[in-house]
Amino acid sequence: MDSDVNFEPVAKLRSQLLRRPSGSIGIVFSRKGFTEPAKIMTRFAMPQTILLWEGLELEFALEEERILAGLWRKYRHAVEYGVPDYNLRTGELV
Amino acid sequence: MTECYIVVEGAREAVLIRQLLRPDFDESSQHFKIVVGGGYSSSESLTRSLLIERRKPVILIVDADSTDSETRQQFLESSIGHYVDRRLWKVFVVTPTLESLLFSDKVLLETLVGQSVSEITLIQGQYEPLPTLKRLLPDAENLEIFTERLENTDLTILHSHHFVQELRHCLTGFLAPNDVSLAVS
Repeated sequence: MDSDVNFEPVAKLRSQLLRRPSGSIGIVFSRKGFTEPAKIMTRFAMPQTILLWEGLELEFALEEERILAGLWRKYRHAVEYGVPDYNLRTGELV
Repeated sequence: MTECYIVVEGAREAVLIRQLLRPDFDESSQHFKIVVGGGYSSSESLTRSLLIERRKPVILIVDADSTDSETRQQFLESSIGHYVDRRLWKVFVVTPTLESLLFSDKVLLETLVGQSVSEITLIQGQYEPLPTLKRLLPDAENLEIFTERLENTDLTILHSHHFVQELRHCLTGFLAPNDVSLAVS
């Protein structure tokens, strides 16, 4: 998509997660990014865990072949700080 | 070791900020880094993530993409402030985009684009900086050319612009040794 993803996919995923076991994780990918309402809704969706992947961090994770490691890091930050859109590129910045 | 990060949306913004901070601030000799977020959404999440993980000060500079900067400012203040101590970050929302700074001074703009510019174009550029800049400087899309042109343009006059003044003041404060520790809530 050429524009930021709005809240609709997040809302849909949230209602799916409500009918799944509590440990289930939802993930939304967007090359461009997410709108402000999408980010707000993802935070309010807790305790349903929806993780957001966006932009250059996707490129970073794919090039480094660290999608799975990235997923664990995102999940860890969601648990520890309640942040559903932790950005993996912090790892490449010294 | 990096003591402070400046997050901007794109590579062109990074070049512009780098030039605006020189010669007093230089990444190669001082402990700060200008980071390309890759768009508004990514820049916002990267800023928050850096603050939480690195516990170092971060300055976020984004475009308002409209004449109203208040909506974005409020969202960012709340989105970042909810997680991290406010003393360690600063958000700048530039109206309408960062490139509008280049249209603050006629002589500066004429040096940059290498041609004379009318008053109408100057005013138009303050409201629609990107399309106007592309029209005046078709090769502005090429980052190397844009960088070279900026390096050959004296941006000193922009140091008195309130945004640049505030940015420099903020960076000075963040780079100065202090005992403020980051609290993550």
